Amino acid sequence: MSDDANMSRRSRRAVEEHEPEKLEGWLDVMWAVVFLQGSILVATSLESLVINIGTGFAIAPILLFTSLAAFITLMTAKGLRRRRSWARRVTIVTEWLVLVVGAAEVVATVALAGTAPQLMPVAVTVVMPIAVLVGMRRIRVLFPEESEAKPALREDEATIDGSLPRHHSMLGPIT
Amino acid sequence: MRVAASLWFHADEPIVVPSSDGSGGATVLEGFNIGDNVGNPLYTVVNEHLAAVVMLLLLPLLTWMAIRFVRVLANRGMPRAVGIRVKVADAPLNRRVAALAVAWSAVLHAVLVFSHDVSFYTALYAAGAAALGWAAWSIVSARRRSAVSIVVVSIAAYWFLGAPPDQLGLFVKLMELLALALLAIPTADAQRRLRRMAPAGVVCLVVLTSFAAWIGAFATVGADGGHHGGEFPSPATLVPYVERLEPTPAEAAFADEVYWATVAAVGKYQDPSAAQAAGYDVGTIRGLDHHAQNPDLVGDGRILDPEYLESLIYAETPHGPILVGVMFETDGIWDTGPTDGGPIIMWHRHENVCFSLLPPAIAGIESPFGICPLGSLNIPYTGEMVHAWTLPGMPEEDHWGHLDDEWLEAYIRGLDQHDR
Repeated sequence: MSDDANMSRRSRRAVEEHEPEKLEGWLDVMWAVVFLQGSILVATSLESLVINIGTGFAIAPILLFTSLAAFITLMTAKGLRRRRSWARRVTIVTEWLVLVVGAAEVVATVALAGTAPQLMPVAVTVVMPIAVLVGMRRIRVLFPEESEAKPALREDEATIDGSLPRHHSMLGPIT
Repeated sequence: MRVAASLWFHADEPIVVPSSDGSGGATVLEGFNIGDNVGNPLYTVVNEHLAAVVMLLLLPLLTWMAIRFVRVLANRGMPRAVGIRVKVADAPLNRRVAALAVAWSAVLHAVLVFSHDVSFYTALYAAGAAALGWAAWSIVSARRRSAVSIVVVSIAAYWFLGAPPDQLGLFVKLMELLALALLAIPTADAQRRLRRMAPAGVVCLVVLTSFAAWIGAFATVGADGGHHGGEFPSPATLVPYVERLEPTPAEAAFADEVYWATVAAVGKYQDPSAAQAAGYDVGTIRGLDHHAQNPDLVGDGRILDPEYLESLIYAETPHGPILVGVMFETDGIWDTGPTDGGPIIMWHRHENVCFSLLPPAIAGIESPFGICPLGSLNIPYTGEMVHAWTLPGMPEEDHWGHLDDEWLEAYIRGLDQHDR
């Protein structure tokens, strides 16, 4: 049996934090979810194009916004794979926006129509953003800029066995 | 042809569509009471899929229990459980999550076998459950290509056989698309063109699934548009479930009286500039059903009053705009319109309308993937409304409700000939 299978969840997390390559699987999953969101926006852009053709491009800004969002989301997914810090920041901001607006729409549906929330809006505008935000938090050590910005925090982290570090870069030896 | 279409679009189940010709007498729509709003399945879960939704809610717990069970068995030294645990643990995270999504899809397909009456489709669900279960195990076992083929076939089958699409069906496809995205992760050493093209393939599948869902949703709409009671409405339209489709003499007389009073009242608005001067927000007239609303008359307490029309409807023609009809609206979102016209004046609502903020306009309806275009907000529920079509020569049965586009186009062509 592999070592990974025998390891408890707590010790596995501790290893992951000190061995960032173990978190690459999470990066892959985040890429897939963000990429799927971008693909959905591509489909929505095409739907908006059809509506715009029917209305003589009376709502062209909507088409422009949606197409731009699709492009940015797909580029962000690519940036995440390349561990670009801007991609992580853009993802966090956009996922929060999607979550807030999506949750408000789900609540409005329940309140106004008096029906149970629909599965798809809940999945796409609530569950997926939450999953991405949780994942982004987990893989933050993979993004160099953010790691370098807070060196003291990184060095202060608990050791693998849960004990305090023996030395702190700013405070000196811990006695 | 009818049988072929029925099979193709899966229209014989799960929702019974009552006839709109009035000959059907009592209509049976399972799960609805008289007066309930009936919508398109695109935004709901059909009755036969409710058991699968319950299963979906239980799946996280069942998954956790299954993992614990395998772990306990593996710790006791059962060789098969040890093998499963090792394979799952050794698989990269993206493959584990993809396998989980496909396994959930398999379980939901299996539930559908038992929640439908025995038919061609139950056999399909059973085959789908077995194939997807095998695909989930193949993903864990690194037999990626065969697993991807099965999931792609499952998605493509939904395009052709999944109509009418509902929320559960779309959610299952979303899980399968997520699994494909997880298996399409670009790798640095991916030299093969097919592997490099995998993400583009996922985008294509998402787009095609969305378009297939639209086609499926509209293909099952009642023959004359869905604004009459007893029909299967188009996506984003809610019609009341009615007991009868034949009006009483009193209802017919009331409908006639209001209709002809409306025809007399709209004469002064044939010219859109007159409507604009009267407070109607005419804007740029485009298409065949441009609605010009008068904000001062919405919510004024006067409902179905021909002298206080909430909206005028114009059509764009080669010879300039023509007034084709009006739309009456109720005051509040929960108000219901007067029912003196019985099944002739059939009020309807809309759901999941995407309203653009820039510029303020209808931007479409919620997509099958549950979102509105960016820059628009989802209006989940509207007040009641009813159309009256006031063009000369309009067939009596089309005075209220839905306007036949073909009739309108023929009318406009007639105007062309008259001008020549």
